[in-house]
Amino acid sequence: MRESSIFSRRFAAGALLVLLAGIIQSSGIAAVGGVRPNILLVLLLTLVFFFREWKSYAALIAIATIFSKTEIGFSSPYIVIAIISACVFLVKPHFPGHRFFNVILAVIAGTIITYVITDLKFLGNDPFTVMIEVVYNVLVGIVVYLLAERIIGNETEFRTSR
Amino acid sequence: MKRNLAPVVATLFLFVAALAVAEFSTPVREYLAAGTRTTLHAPLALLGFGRSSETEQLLRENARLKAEVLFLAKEPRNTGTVARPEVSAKVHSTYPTNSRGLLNINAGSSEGIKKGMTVTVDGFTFLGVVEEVGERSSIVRTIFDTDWQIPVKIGDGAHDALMVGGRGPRLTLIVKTGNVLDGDDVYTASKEFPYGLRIGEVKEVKGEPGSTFEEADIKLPFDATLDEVHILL
Repeated sequence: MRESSIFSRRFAAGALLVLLAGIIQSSGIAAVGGVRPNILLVLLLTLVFFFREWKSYAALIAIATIFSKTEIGFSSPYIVIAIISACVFLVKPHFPGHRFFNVILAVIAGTIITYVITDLKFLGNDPFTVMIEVVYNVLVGIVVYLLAERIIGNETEFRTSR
Repeated sequence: MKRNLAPVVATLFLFVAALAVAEFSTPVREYLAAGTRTTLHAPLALLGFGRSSETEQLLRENARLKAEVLFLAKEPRNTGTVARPEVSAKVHSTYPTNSRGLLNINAGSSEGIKKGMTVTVDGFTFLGVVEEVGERSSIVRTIFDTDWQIPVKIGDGAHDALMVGGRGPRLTLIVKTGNVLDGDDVYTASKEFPYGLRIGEVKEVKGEPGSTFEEADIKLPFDATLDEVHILL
C-alpha cells in the first residue's frame, strides 16, 4: 500500500491532530499545578513513528509551524520543536525498541533537549518543573500514541535499521 | 548520500513556504485563536473547572476590590473614583514552555499599546508589562516569567522585598524584622509601574536561623490561564 501522501486520509488525520494540539497548547488550559505539557512536541514526536514518508511528515511540521506564527513572530521553542521533530524523523531507524517505547524515549529526550536549547538556565534553576513536565509529556504521549493507533492506523511504519 | 539529503532539503523548503503562508494568514489565525481559546474553556466551566463559575467570579470580584482599596490607600492623588484609561484585550496564546510566562494578546499599536505599559488582571491587580508590540497584537511578560525580578513592598509597614517571577512567584530579600506576616498584601514599588498595584498576599514566610533576610511565597488571587487582561494607558 502506498503510504500516506499529502492527500491521504492518514495525513488528514495527522494534520487534524496537529491543529488540535496547537490550539490546546497555546490556550494553556491543559496546565496541571501550573505546569503545562508541550502537547505539540509530544504529538509531532509520536507521529514520527506513524509516518514513513518524509514528505507527509515534513508537511505536518510545516502545518505546526504555520499555526504557531503570531503577528510579532515565532516563539523560539516552536522553531526548536520543528527542528527536533525533523531530526528524530531522520534518526528514527536507529531507535532501539518497540514503537511504543520509542515514542516514550523520543518524548523524554525531546522535552529535555527543548529546554537545553531554549532555556538552559531554567533547566538548572528549576529542574523539578522540567521533571514534572517530562512526566506529564510522557503521559500525554501515551494517550496520543493510543489515539494515533486508532485514528491514523495500526500498520507498523517503523522499521529498525537492523 | 543524495537520497539522504532530500528530506532535509525538502523540509527546509516546506519550512520556508510555511513562513510565507504564515505571514499572510496571521490576522485570521489570531482571530480564530482568541475565539477558540474562549470556546475551549466552556466545557471545563460546565464540569465545574471553569473560571467563569459563580464562586470563581465572586472570588475575582473580591480580589479586585481588595486591590482597588489597596491602590487607593497607597496613591493619595486617587482619592475618590478611579478613572484611568485602560484597554482590555483577549489572550491569544501562551508561551509553549514552562520557563517563560509570556502571553500574546490581541491589542497592539492600533489600540494605543506601547512597549513598557503596565498590564493588570482587572485594572488593579498587577500581571506584567508589555514587552513587544505589533499592529494588532502584543507580547506581555508576566510575573510567571522565571527571568523576571521586581522590587515590591509588603503590608502596612511597606517592607521592602524583591519579587522573583516563576510558576509560583516568591519574595526574597525581606529584612528579618518579624513584622512580615502571612496574609500581608504584596504590591508594586518599582518606578516603571504605578505604585501600589496589588500582586497577591504573603504565604509561608521562611527564614534560615542566623540569616539577615527571609523569603516567602506569594498567594496570587488569579491563576496563569487568563482569558482577558487590562493594559493601563
